[in-house]
Amino acid sequence: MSRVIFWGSVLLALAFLIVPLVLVLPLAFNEGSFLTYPMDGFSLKWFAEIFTHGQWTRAFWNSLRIAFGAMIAGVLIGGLAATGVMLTGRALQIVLTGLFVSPLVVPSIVVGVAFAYAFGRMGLSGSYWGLVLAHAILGAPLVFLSVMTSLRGLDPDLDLAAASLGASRSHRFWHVTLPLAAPGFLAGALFAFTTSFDEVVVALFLASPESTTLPVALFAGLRDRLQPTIVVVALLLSLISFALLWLMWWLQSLGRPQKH
Amino acid sequence: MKVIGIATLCAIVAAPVAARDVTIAGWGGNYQDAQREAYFKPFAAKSGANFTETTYLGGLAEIKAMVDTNNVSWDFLIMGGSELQLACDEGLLEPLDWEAIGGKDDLLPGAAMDCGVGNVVIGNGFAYNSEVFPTPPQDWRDFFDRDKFPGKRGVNNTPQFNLEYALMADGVPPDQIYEVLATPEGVDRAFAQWDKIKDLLQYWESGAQPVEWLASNNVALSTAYNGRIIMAKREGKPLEFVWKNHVVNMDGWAMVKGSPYKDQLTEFIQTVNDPENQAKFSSLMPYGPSNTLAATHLSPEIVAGLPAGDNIKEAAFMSDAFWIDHLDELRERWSRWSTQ
Amino acid sequence: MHASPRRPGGARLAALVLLVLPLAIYSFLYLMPIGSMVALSVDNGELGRSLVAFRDADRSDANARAAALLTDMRAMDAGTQGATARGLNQNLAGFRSLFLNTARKSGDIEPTMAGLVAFDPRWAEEQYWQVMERNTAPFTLRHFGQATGLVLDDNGRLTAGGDDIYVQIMWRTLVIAVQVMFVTLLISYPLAYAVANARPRFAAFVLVAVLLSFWTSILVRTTAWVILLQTSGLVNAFLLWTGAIAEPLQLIFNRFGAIVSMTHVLLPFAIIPMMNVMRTIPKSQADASRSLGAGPIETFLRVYFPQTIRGVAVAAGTVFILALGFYITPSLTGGPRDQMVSFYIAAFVKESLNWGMASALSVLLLGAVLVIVAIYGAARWAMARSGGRA
Repeated sequence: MSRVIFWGSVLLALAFLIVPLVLVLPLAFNEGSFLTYPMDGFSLKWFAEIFTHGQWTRAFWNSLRIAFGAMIAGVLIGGLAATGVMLTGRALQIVLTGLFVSPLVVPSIVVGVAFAYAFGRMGLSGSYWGLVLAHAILGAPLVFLSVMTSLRGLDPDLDLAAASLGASRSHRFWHVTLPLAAPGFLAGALFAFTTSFDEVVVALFLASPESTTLPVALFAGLRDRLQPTIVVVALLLSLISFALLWLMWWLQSLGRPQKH
Repeated sequence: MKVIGIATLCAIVAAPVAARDVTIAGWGGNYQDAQREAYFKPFAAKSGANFTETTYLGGLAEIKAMVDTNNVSWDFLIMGGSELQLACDEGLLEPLDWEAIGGKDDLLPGAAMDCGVGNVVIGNGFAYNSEVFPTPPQDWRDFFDRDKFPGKRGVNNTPQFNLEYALMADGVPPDQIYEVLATPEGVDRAFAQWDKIKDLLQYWESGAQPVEWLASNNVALSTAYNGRIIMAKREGKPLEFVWKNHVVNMDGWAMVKGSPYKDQLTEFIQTVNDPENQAKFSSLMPYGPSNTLAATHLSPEIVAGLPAGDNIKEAAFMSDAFWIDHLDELRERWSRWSTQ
Repeated sequence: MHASPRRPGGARLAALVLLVLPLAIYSFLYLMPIGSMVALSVDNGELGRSLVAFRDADRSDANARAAALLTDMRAMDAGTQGATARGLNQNLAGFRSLFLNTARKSGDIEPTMAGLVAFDPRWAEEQYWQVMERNTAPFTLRHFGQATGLVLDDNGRLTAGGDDIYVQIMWRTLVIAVQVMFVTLLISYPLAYAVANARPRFAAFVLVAVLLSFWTSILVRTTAWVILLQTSGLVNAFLLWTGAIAEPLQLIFNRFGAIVSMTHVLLPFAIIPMMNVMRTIPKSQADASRSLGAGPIETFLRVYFPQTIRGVAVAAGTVFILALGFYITPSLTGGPRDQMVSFYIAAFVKESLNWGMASALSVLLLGAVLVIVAIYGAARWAMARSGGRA
């Protein structure tokens, strides 16, 4: 009886979790233009349409450039913040952590309105840098958290050992602490990249037609009409996400043996 | 080393654009394709200017940002009539010199504005699937008649046009709708009509949806733009547009204030007003010309699908002035009504 | 931590150097924009700054008021006239055209009450003058008034006499967030349980599924639901094929579609914290309970479940806070009756250029989120103090 409840609920929940994507994404290869099964035949024509259509390719490059810039800026901001906060006293640490993590909690629509207004007045609205900085702010908390986690997890004995061997503080920091925290930085960088690459709401407020990102274009397409090209874009976005997840897993498996 | 790499990368991705071409912002898709053939290319040929295109998604936010920050990256753009008037009021558009442009009298009434010119005439009405209703609906009374024409109705989720439709269904003549709608009782009357079919409504957001829904029998009737329905009909879909008492509105061309290409403004407006160019546009895209002389360059089959000629004999003309004053208030009332 | 405590001064200096850049960027590009948004919610815009002569005119003298108004109108450039008219129209529909038409001809109108009324008889109506008098200050609470339905009555007291549409929308936002939270918890609990307790192979499989879902863009997952739930979509096609229904069901653009898609998007956010707590619960406890004669269901309810409540609470809080601010997913899968406050904020910015209302609603949403986070923090702190494992 309890087994039936367990397996029944787990399988139903699992189906709910994975079936939508498993069922929908293959439709990108459908020959016909209807988004339903049975498929009319296998075809790559919708992919061809995406890649020959300037609008989608431009949005893709915009997204890539913005995500790259946001990643660099986010790692810089979040990484500096995390290392700096580690060196402060306890009370200040709590306050600053709250500040640096807070963009995760503020609803993105609120961030969107605030940025759209303030960046508009600074002349950053619609520009590449406006989007990079906005996305860097959204990605920085994730870098901050992952760097903090890896710095906290460091064995203090390593620092002491280095000190006992006569290494100076700054030498220890650059040659012992930071390399050991490198996986945290890398994971944070990936988080920042994905955050920017998938972000819709803030970009919706800040992007001009020239700087439109792939998610914004997908959102506009969804509101217009459902075409197989939309599934192709969704599939490409997911593949990129999966590649990044795999990269993350690979980096972690690289980092693991070093701890011992 | 790394720093230099990053700096170079930043320099590449943020390279500024030097002296730009004339930039024209349109609404994308077939609509802009037709305008490129009918207007942009003749304009480029005549003026010798190179042009690039971009997409404008409506709203004043972008234009206001350009003007306020003195960073004008668009020159010409096409806007809905009310938004054009609003933008003009807020000082976001260059005023036109009608004496230099000329030909004002050939345009439809209301097309020649201070900062822009009405160019694309759009018919807003409703459509049905002719395979579903052998005896077709005739007018707005039928649209609101749930017994005679059962089934769901597709409706754009906005008070604009919808309140006009309701009043005409309630017997208000097309030329009096805005007088009635300016009174609180008139607004109540319009909403009372919508109450009758409220449970049948399904809201559309993009002009492509009514076509899809009607063609797949998802809804029985739907409000729609004439162009989408006529295009679908040409592709062989069994859809019909009801011309009686449709509401006509115009999209118009304007120039963003502070554009470096101000010298080309008169030439551009003349190009889009040219009857032959307009006829070319209407033959590509079933929306009407704003120049009354354009009809002579069009075949009767094309005119039959346009908000022009016989089709607009019983049409109502949308009042931009009314909607500029009342849109905020009525939008709030409509959204309260539609969400309760 | 690892910085040795021998030279605290040095550590502090290093911290300061490291923190300068992030703090500067956060202040200028994050705190300041949010601050200016808060200011915007009470800012009366051009309207509050442009009626200068009118503000100082004698209220009891109708002609002086009229003359002052015309003076102000003549002093404004076209853009200011437009912005002032927009602000007035937000107070009273129809004021825009009245103000602009008069302003454009302000040079030719005789500067008396009679002159104004002769130009447009609406100037004889007291309501227009009242609106202007209420808006001569640079700050206004009218956006919050409109958002909360509270108005100042003639005695200066707050009453709930206004239009309560935005109160209804905020209530709806809360209701949807709670609905989504419960459905999400219900579905994610067994999955988290499976990751923590099932055989390693199956647990790993579920974990991979959860992580893949977590890393897939919210928009992509919403897209999948739009395609599944549309009238001619996969779910309806399947149900029609099995013969369970004869007519396609309306599954999208209503509350059902909104909740299903939001739940799916939020599942990983609930599973991960629950899973982390469940992993710390030793399996031996269940065995002990079983050996004492309790059935599996009783063991679960009395021994296992109470220990997972902390994880459930974290999951519930996370999901609820995220759901409150949702925009993309409900706007694509919900109907007009299922739009949350974010939808209206976006519409105010994008469609009616009403930054004041967008900011006021944003401030209320942000306030709600911060209150919940604060309650949460206080609860954690209290639990930590009372000796519980926080």
